[in-house]
Amino acid sequence: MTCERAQELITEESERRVATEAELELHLASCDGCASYARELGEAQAWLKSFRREPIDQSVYRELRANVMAEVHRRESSANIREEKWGVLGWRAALACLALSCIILAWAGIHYVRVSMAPLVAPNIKMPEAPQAPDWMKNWSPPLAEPHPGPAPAPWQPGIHQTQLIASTTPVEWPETPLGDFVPGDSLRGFSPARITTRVELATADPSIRIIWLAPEKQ
Amino acid sequence: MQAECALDLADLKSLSNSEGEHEPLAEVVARAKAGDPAAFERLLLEHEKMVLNTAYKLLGNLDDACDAAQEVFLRFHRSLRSFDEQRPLAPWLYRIAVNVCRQIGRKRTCRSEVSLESEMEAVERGRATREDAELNIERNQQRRILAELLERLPQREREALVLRDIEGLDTSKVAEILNVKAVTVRSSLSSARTKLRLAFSRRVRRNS
Repeated sequence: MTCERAQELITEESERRVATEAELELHLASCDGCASYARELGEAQAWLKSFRREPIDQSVYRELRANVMAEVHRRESSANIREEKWGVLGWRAALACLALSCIILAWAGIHYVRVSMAPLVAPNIKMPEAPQAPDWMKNWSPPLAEPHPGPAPAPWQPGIHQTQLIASTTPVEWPETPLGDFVPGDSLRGFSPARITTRVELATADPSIRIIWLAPEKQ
Repeated sequence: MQAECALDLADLKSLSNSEGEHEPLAEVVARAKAGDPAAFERLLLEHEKMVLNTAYKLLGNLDDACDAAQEVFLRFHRSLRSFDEQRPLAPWLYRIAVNVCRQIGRKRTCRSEVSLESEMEAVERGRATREDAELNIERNQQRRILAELLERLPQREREALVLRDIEGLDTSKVAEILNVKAVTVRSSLSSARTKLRLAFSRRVRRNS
């Protein structure tokens, strides 16, 4: 056994086994350095052990005990006071909280129903009067488009969004005099009515919507 | 050392009540859990030396040790309801003591020589034994050396040395209390013992 290993075993006594114990004893008998190491450590540990219980004055223990017990009593009495208070008021407080919660919930429910079920009322807004159509327009209608010469449009299928050309016109002569400067719609502003020559009608998936396209004449 | 500690722990398995009859520790703990202050006081009485001495070794200062011991018992009282009375109480108290001492040690910035002197005086003032003045001086010197030695050790080594070599607990219990592996305790102990041996041999050489 080397001195290093022997000193390790001396320092860490829990590592020692019966087998190594005999070997260590043998080494200690032949090595003064390790024997001295073992003796010094033994003395140091014995010295350390002598401090295990310090002769502390009994008054210190008495004071410690008194402080701890005073604090314990203080805590317990405050806990008891809390308990007593809750014992008297507890049920009332709990019932009051429950009642308050019910009132709040009921109010919230009523408010929700009122808001969600209220009928929609149109806002009272005064609309400007629509401009009167000129006299010539009252008895005039644009020329009807002729049915498209192609194949008949397929019947509408629900859920399918599509547009179909259902009718168109060849260049149409618009009445010149009665229209004057009248422009039917902002999108056509700037075009002379005489130049609008083609009308295309498109049906959309919504049967109530029909797109009418008035195409200007090519320049 | 271990035999002595085992004897101490065996003593703590039963406590004498006011009529001098031995009552199992578990029953005293159960009564304390039920809110009996007398039972708690008996537990306090039986364990105060162990807790205060351990705190004193770990902190090296009697005032701090008293504060720590007080805090240990108050924490013990607070968590008493969760304690299983069938388990040994001493390791649990050691664990609380180590944790409290760590907290106090962190708060404390330094320990002055003056406070160490005053500690010695405080301890000496109340000595129950009738040692003569020479022995008192010698003992004071030794205590100071021990306090200095322990103070110089890193916290983990100090805790391992105090619990294993001074309190006499076995390595597995120390590991459990410090919440580390046994191998860590062994390594800390080995390092602390080597330092202790060196300090002790220097002292012997100086004296001779």
